[in-house]
Amino acid sequence: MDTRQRPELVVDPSRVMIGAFIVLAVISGLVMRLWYLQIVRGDDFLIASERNRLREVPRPAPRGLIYDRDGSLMLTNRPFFDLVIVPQYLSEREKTIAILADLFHLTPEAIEKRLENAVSLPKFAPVEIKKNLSLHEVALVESVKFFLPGVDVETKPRRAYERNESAHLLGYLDEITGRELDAYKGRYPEGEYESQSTVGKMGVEKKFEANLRGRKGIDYLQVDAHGRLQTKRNFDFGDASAREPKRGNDLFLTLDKEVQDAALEAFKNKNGALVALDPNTGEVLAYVSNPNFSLSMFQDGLTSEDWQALQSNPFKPLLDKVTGGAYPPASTYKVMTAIAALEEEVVAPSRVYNCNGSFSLGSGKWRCWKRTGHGPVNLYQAIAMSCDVWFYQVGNLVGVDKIAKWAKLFGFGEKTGLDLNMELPGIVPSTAWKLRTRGVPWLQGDTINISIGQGYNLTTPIQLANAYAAIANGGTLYRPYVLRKIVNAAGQVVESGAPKVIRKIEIKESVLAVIHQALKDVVQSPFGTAQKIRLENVTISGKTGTAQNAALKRTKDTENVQLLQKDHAWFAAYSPSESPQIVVVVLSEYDGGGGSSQAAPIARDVISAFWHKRDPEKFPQVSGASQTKGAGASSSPLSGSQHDGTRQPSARPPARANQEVIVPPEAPELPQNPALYLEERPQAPGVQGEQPGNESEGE
Amino acid sequence: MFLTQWFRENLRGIPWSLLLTVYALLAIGLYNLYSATGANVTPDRFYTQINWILIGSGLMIVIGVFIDIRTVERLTFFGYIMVCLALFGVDFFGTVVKGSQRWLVLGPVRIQPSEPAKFIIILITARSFAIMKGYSSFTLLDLWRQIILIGLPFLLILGNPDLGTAGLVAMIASAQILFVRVSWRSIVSVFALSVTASLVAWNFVLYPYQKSRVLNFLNPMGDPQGAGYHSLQSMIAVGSGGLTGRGYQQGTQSQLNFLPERHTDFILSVFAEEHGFVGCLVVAILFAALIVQLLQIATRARDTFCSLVVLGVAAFFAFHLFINVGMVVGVFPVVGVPLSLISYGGSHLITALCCLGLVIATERRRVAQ
Repeated sequence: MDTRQRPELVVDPSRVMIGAFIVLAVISGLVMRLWYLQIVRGDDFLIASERNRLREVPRPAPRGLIYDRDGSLMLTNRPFFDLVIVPQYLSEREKTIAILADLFHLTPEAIEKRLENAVSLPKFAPVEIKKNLSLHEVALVESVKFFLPGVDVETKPRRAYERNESAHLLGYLDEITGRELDAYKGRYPEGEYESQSTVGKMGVEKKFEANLRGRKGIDYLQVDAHGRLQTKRNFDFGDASAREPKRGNDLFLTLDKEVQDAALEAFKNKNGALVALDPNTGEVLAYVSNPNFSLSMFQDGLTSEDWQALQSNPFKPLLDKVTGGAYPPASTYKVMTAIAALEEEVVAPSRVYNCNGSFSLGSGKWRCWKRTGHGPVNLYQAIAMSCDVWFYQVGNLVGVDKIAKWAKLFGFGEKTGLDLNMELPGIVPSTAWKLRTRGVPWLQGDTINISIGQGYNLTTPIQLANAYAAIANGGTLYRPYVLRKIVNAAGQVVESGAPKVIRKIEIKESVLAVIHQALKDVVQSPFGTAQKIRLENVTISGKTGTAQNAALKRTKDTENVQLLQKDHAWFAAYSPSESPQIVVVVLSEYDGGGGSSQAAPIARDVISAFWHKRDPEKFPQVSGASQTKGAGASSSPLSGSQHDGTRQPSARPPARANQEVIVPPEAPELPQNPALYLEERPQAPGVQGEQPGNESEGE
Repeated sequence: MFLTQWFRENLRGIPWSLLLTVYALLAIGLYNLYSATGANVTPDRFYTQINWILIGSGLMIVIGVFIDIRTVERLTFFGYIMVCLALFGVDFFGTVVKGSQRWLVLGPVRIQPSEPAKFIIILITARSFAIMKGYSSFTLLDLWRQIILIGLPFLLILGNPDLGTAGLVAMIASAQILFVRVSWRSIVSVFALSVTASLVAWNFVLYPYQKSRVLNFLNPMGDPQGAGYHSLQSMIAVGSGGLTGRGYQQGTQSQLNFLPERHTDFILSVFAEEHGFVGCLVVAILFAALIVQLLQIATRARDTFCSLVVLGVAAFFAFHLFINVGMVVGVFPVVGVPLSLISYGGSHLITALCCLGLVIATERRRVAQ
C-alpha cells in the first residue's frame, strides 16, 4: 500500500525536516530573546515597571522652628488646608466650578485659570484652588465634596504667623524663581527643589534656608496606566520605600522676643528702622523695619492688588531699612567729629565756643538748630544740647579727612556684614572721595555740613548701632549677627554663632570717657536733648539726630513730595551708661519731628523692656512711644526753619540743610547756666585748656 | 456493546499526544486569561473563552471524527467560494470595529471571515496540488493555479484592510508550496526577484510619505504619542517577570493596564510577567512539541492532500507563534496577530481547533488505510 501511494506524494520529506529545523531554531531564538529580557535585563525592566505603576507624591517637610535667644518660640508651623480639584475626576465641570466660585468668593474664570495653569502637572494630581482655608471653609468643603467629585481638601504644614512679626527679620516665603532653582539645585539633594517649591525669600528664612528646609517625604501611590489611584483593588504589590518628611533644623536666634515685641509695639506707628544690639558681642536683640508687611499675605498667595500696594507705597515696605536704608546720620554723627577732634588733639573737651545761633565761613552762613543760640558751650554741652555751632567750629579745625578716618574706624562707610538682607555700605565723605566720585575738589564749606552728619554723609541704622556699640564697649567693633545656634531634630547643635571682631579701635581711654560722659548727659543731665526718656534705676546714654531731606525737593515722586521732604528722626542709645548691655538705634524716616521727641521715646521703650525682663520689680515696663504721632499719617506742618535761603552758598550742594529741629512743645527747658554741669568732666589729654587761635565768632 | 464497538472503530488513529499538547496550551491560556482580564472582577471574557473552546472542540471532533477527509477535500472548493464571498462582503458591507473593517455582522453573530480564510487557504492549496497528478517536480509556470487561488483571497483580505492576516495567509500558503517538490531554481529566482523588486521600489519608486504609510500600515497599533509604546510596555512586562515571574495576578504591568491588548495580542506578556522565564519556557516547549508533532504527522500522511493540509496547519501555528512572540519580545513590529490557543478571541480559536480537526481526520484516515 505504501509503495503504491508514495509516487503520488509530491511533498518532499527532506524539506519537512528542514522546516522542523527552522521551527526549532526560531523558537530557540525567541527563547534566547526571553532569556535576554527576563534574566539578563530583568532588573532594569523591573525598575521600569515600578516606575510605571508608582507615582511619587512629595510630602512637604515642615520648616524648622525659630526660637529667640531664650527658647521662646518666634515662629512655628501648623497644618493648613487647601481646596484642591482633581480635574480628571470632575463629572460636571462647569457646575462644580460655579458652586466653588460661589462658596469661596472666587470667580469661575480664576478657577478655570488655575486649572489651565496646572495642565503640566501629572494626571490626577490635585490642583490647588485656594490656599489656607479657614476651619469654616474646610467644613464647607467637607459638606459638599460628596456631591462634587474631584473636589477635596489637602493638608500641608505651613508657617503659623500669629501677629505682625518683623517681616524683614524673619523673611517671607514664596514660590521659587527659575534662577533660584538653578542656584539651589546644585547645592541640595536631588529633587528637593523643583518648580513651585516654596523657599525663603528674605531675612532668616532665606539666610538659613538650607537648615530650615528639612527634607521632603515621599509617598508612593499605585496608579494605573491612566494615572488613577489604585487602592481598592484586591491585590497587593508590597511596600515601596516611602520616606517620611523630615522637619528642618530649628534656629535659636540672638533676638530677645520680649525686646523685639516691645520694639514692634513702640515703633508700630512709625516708618524706618529699629535695631538693638548687645554691644559686648554684636548679637542682634531687636530688628524692625517699617512699614512692616504681613508674612501670611505672601503665604496665602499674594494678590496683584497686594503686590501693587506694596510696590506703590512711598515708604517702600519691602526694603529692609536696617541694612538697606542709607540716611544722613545728622547729629548722631557729631560723636565722630568729637572723637576725631579729641584723638587728633585739635581741641580739648573743655574748649568753649560761643553759639550765637549761626556760623559763618566766607560768604556762607550755617545756622544752629537753635536760632537764638546756646551761648558759650563746651564739648559736653555741645553734645548734650546738640549745639551745631560748636561742631561747625571744631569740624572746620579737624578737617574732613580726619573725621572720615575715625568714622571709618567705627565702621561707617562699610557693610557691617550682618548678611541678612541687602546691605548698603553708606558713604563717609572725604576729599579723595569727592574728587573720585564727583570729580570736583573738596570745599571747606562741605566740611561744615559733614561735621554735623549732613551733607554727603549716608549711614545705615545697623552701621550707626554698630558704631555706638563700639563706643559703648570701649572700642571693639563687632560683626552683628542673628544666629545663636542651629539645633537638629536629635537636639544636637549643628552650628552656633559666635562674636566676631571686625577690629579693635585704637582709641584712648580718656577720649572714650569724655564721649561716654557727653552721651550720658544727653539723657541724664537736665539740659540734655533726650532728658525726657530717663528710666528709673538705670541710666541711658544716647544721641539724638534730625536729618533733613530738603534735597529731596528734586524727587520725581511729585505725589509724595511734601511727605518725602520731612525730617528723619534718629536716636542712638545704650544702657546702662556705665557698662552698656544694650544698644538701640531708632530711625523714624520722614517723621517731621525731631530725634528727641520722635525717636528717643521708642528707644526708651525698647531699653525699658530689656531691663523689665531682667528684673520686673526694679524696672517697671515703660511704654508710650507708640502713642506719638505716626509719620505716614502725620498732618503736622513742616518746620518753618527748614528752608532757609539765607544760608545757601551758591557753590555748595543744594539745600543740604544742617540744623536740628525740635518740635517746640517737647523741647527741653534748658537751665540758665549749663556751665554748672561742667565740673568733674573727664578731659582728653594733650590739648587741655588750649584755645585754638581762630575761634573768634562773628555777630 | 454498541458504544465500545463505535469507539473502537472511530477513535482509532486519534493523535492523543497532540491533543494533550493542545489542551495543555488551552488550559494555560484559560488560566492566564483569568488573570489578564481581572476575571475575579469581570469574569465575562473568561467564560466566553470557555464557550469558544467548547464550540471549537465540538467542531474539531465533527471534522476529525465524523467527516471523512475525502469529503472535506471534495467540499474545499465550495468552502473557498463561500469564504471569498464573505471576504468580499466584509470589504463592502463590513462593520468597523476598532477602526478597521474586519467584521461581518449576520444577525446576532459577528464573524471575522479572515480567520476562516486561513483555514480554507490551507485546504485549497493542498487540494490544488492534489489534483495535479503526474508531476514529480514543479517549476514556476506549473504553479499558475495556486497563484490565482491564493491571490484572490489574499487581495480581498488586504482590502479589509488587514495586512497582518493577508500576510499570514500568504505565508502559510507559501510554506505549503515550499514543502512541495518545487525546483530550487524556481524558489531562488522568485525569492531573488521579489527581494530585488521590493528593494528597488523602496529605494527608487516610493515617496517618503508612502514609505511611512507602509510603516504605519505595518504598525497600526503604534501609539501616536510615540511609536513603540506598546512594544516597550510589553518588553517591560516580559522583562520584569525575571526568572520565576511576579506571581499569579501580581503582574503590575498587566493588572494596571499598562499593557495594551493584554487579553488578545499581548496575552503572552501577561504570562511572561507573572510566570517569568520558567513559565515561558514551558509554553515554548509545548508549542515546539505541537509543531514538531504536526510535521511528523505530515510526513506520515499517505497522500498529497493530507500531507499538505497538515503542513499548512503546522505553518499556521508556527507563523502565529513567531509573529506574536516576536511582537511581544520586541523584535517584530506590532501587528494584530494573536497567539493561537492562548489569546482571547473566538474566531481565531475556532479556526485553530478546526485546523486540528483536519489533522485528526488525516491521522484517522492513515490508520484506517
